Amino acid sequence: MKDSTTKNRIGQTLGRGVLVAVLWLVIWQAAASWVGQELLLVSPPVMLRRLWELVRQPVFWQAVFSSCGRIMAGVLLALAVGTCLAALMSRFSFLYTFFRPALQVIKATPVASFIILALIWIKSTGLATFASFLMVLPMVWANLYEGIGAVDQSLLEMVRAYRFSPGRKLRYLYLPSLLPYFAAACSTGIGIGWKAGIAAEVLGLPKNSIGKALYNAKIYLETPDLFCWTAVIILLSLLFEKLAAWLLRVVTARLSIAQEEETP
Amino acid sequence: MIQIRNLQKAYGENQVLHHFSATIPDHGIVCITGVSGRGKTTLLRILSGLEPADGGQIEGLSGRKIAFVFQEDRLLPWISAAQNIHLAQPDQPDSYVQGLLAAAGLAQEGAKRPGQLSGGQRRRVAFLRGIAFLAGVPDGVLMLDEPFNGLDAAAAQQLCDILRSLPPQTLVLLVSHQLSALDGMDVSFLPMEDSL
Repeated sequence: MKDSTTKNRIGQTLGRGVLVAVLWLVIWQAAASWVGQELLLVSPPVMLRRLWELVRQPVFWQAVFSSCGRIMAGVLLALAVGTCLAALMSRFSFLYTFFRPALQVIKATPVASFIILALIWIKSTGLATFASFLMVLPMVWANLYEGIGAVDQSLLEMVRAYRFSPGRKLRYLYLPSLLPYFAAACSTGIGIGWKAGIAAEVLGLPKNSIGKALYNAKIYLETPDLFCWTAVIILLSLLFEKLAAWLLRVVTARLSIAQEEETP
Repeated sequence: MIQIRNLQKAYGENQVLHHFSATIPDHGIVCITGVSGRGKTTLLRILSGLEPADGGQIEGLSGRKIAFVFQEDRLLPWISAAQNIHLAQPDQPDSYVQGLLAAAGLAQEGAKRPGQLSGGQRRRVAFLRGIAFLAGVPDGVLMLDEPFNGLDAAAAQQLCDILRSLPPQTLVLLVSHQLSALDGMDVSFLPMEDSL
């Protein structure tokens, strides 16, 4: 009974999703037909045809893999450094006082300012990594810092009373408490990292990159290419977001962590 | 004997312990009694080292391993009841935990998470965690803050049976308003009416 209800609900959600997607495609097609100029607005079939041509070229995959590597390296680095910073700043208040203004400045500064400045310092190949790292870092830090502060004080006292070793404290108290905050940071961070990384590639124009392909599409007025690469960026960002969510689900299951269930 | 001399504790303007002195036997079961607000829980927390006193002295407790069963269950919600107990004493085999669960009438509940247990079952798991923490310690101190809350007479009796099975050198210090649960046990009482 419960299974069939769940299946029905999933079917309904999927059906609704497909319906919404079809509706938007119809609106897009109608708008493209109304504009009537491919240079201004490409129709869905034209974009799909061009995408099919692109994916059969090795240079497409070179750009995809290079950009993925650069951008995700920045995101992963930001996740690692942001987590360490949050832990250290929660432990040592002087580090919080020292780093907080810097992180707030980074958060408030437009990504373009950093990219243009960084162009002077580093090679264009490292620019996307730098930009995504810098944009994701304050967000990871803020999320995890808040998470550490929200760890149940009564449970902290309990682990102290029962003399949990630091490893057990981390494994059984901090990790389960912080995973939701880390998941939120990953989900938002990947999207922001892709936006910042691609912007950095458009400005830095490194060889074999999605950003350079986007720039070329703009220069040569190849609107179908512009649409294709934009779609590829959206798909890649979503793919990595889903991948991160799946990985976190696996980790959660491995740690035997479950949401608190209702009392019978 | 454990000597408590001139113990003082205040939370802001609220003086909870005012030059409180007492002598407690170093083993057996001691029940701290008194009306609410007299500082019974505060006394337990100070004796266990969870909270510092503002003044006074405690002698005779240093070096003894202390298990504290809190008034709230404070179980880790994301792991099972058995794991919660086992974490207090990771060196003990699973069979030890299973034995404890069975003794408290929870043999079938070990795999359940705290959220899947009733209030009384959670209370017993928290109690068993304290017992497990003192496993293999002949002269441990077990501090129980309202251990019988939410328990029916049969469940309270099971906990009393476990208390009876502790090594004779163990000191059990408990705060409870359900004194009837202790009927038939050899209990000394420490009244706190005069602490203020």
